[in-house]
Amino acid sequence: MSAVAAAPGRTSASSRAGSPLALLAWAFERLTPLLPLVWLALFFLGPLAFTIIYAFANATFGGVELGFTLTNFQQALSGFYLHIFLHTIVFAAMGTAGAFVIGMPLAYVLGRKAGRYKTVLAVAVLIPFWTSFLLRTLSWETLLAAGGPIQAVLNFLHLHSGQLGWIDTNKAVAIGLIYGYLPLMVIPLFVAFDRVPAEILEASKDLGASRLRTFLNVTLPMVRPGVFTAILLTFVPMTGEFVVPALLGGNKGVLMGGLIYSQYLGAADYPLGSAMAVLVMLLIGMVLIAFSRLTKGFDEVGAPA
Amino acid sequence: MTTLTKGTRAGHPDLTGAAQPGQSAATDVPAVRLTHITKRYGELLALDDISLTISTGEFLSILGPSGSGKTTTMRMIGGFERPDSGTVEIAGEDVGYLPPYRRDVNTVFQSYALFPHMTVEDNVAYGLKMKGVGKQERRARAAEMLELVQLAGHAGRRPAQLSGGMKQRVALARALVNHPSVLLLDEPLGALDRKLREHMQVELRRIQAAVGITFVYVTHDQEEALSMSDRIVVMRNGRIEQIGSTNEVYDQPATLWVSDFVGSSSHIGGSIRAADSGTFLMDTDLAPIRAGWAASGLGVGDRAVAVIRPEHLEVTPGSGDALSENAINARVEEVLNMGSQAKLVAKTPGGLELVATVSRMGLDPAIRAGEPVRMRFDAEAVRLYSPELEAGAGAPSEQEAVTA
Repeated sequence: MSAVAAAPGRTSASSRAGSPLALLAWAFERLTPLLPLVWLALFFLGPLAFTIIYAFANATFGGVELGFTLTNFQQALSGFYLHIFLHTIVFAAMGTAGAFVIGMPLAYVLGRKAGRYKTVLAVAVLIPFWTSFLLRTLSWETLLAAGGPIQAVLNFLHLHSGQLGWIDTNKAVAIGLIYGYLPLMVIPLFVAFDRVPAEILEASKDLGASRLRTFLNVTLPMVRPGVFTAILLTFVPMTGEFVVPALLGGNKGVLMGGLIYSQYLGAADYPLGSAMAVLVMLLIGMVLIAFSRLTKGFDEVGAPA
Repeated sequence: MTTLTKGTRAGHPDLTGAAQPGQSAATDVPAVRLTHITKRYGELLALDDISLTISTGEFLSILGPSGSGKTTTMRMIGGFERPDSGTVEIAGEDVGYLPPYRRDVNTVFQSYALFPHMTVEDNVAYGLKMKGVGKQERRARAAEMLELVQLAGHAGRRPAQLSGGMKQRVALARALVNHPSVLLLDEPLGALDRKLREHMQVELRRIQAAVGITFVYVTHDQEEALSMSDRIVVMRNGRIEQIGSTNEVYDQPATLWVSDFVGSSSHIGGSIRAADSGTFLMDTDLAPIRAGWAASGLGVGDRAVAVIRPEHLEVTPGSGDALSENAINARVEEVLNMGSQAKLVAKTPGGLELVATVSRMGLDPAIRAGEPVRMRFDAEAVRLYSPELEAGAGAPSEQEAVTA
């Protein structure tokens, strides 16, 4: 009743709001900000929720029976599966380290020493990144194959003799991982090196530091945020990588990504696959937390004074 | 401001300054000596045969517009640029091919270039650490320097937490703590607001007097150079136009361009009619002008430009004989309030603009916009220059990219 009583005072306002066009405009204005949320819910939160629910569900033959059990996690953290999980962490860490060892000097040269060739060289690093990852990984199969070009080079340099048996082993997976993620490592490092103001390095030399000491005392600390970004950008997707092990690793080079894939699409054991996926997510979450702790004081480094 | 006249005029081969009063006796060796320095960047001639001697303990400003080569000259001394030809000596030692970290010179950079990942104290102590000075002594000396630049109590802060003026002081302390033979300052006050800049000018003089280190100060601000320096080097297009005390550069500019770049002045063109007993008589479209000085090479019959500083124009209301010597009839365009003084802009019937500064106290009320005035000046206040020098004035702007 009170709503009715209040109505006469608002007639003009409500009549305006009542027209269909105005209503549409109102809805548009209010609801469009929700669209990204809907998108996120549909394509990220939804699948994530299903994965988490499945991880605690019972597997039936080719199906899922909802419930609450830790069997999937027990299974994922035991025997062969645990071995692959740990193997994946070690591999991602090693692959990241390998990409870092190659990427750091590359980024330093690009960012600080390339001069006017800087842009050209940076693009040269990026171009392979824009071609199909699958194709690039497949090409390594040819390169590393027994009797292939890399074997010829290694034989010529007396670093290896006879047939190269790397395909379908961890070696090939490591090479493929490092190669595939090198641009992700180089670009943040390149940006970090590039952004160190020349005057700050001159100041260091002016104050008596040689090139090496300037690099250690000034350049390195100033690119630290870029180093952490690069490591994160490389390590996180490496833990879920499944194309490289599938193409170059054969039976011996299986990583977590491939294992989850086979649980979903091969064995149709959705709960076990989901539990593994949740474990990988937890791992990544832990890494992210650790990194955000480590990088806490970096705001001051980011912007040059 | 001291009125040292130890410099010699441009063009003289011997530029060694006489000893400054209060300076130690053992300073026959100059702090810096540049001899015939030339530097090219591709097509661009950045420095064209620069020779310059800087005495120990001196406050020397290098003044010039963008692209004049002043920053390049400074970077030569600092070791950031190497000369194509010529020698750089610091305290008598040829350092032309030594890197910056092997030279007894420190720099205050235009952008301050503080290390953002270090505290103020670590920034200041950096040079000492590189020299291998122990931690205790480093801390003590850094604290002492921070005291000198009035930043005691800020030792633990990061550069990002400091204001522009504070960063500037840290940069200064970081350079001075090493007690270099020469301190280079590259437009260090450029980023500060006017009030702070004026305060820092006084501060820099105080600090220089306290530490007794040779300061080489690069600036494009003529007021700054005039108020702070013992001597000024005026540069243009990679050459030195004039070296002299602040008074010399202002009162006796060596070229028409220097007279225009340092301070303001009125220019009146004409041709020289007579030269007798130390004065020169010039015919102009206005009154004849008698001048007490003329550039060497100027003679009877030559075209010339008379230069008069605004403070030398005496302004009275009304008009008078249009043909009497050193008195010009004009009409006031505007009177600008400059605080304690007023800037008076007047135009002659021929459209020539004359600028005078007058005291605002007791300014004749008849002197106001639209009213006729008579502007008188002494022959001693007039200097004649060859007008040819004006051609090509103003630095080419493409040089800015290189040296700015």
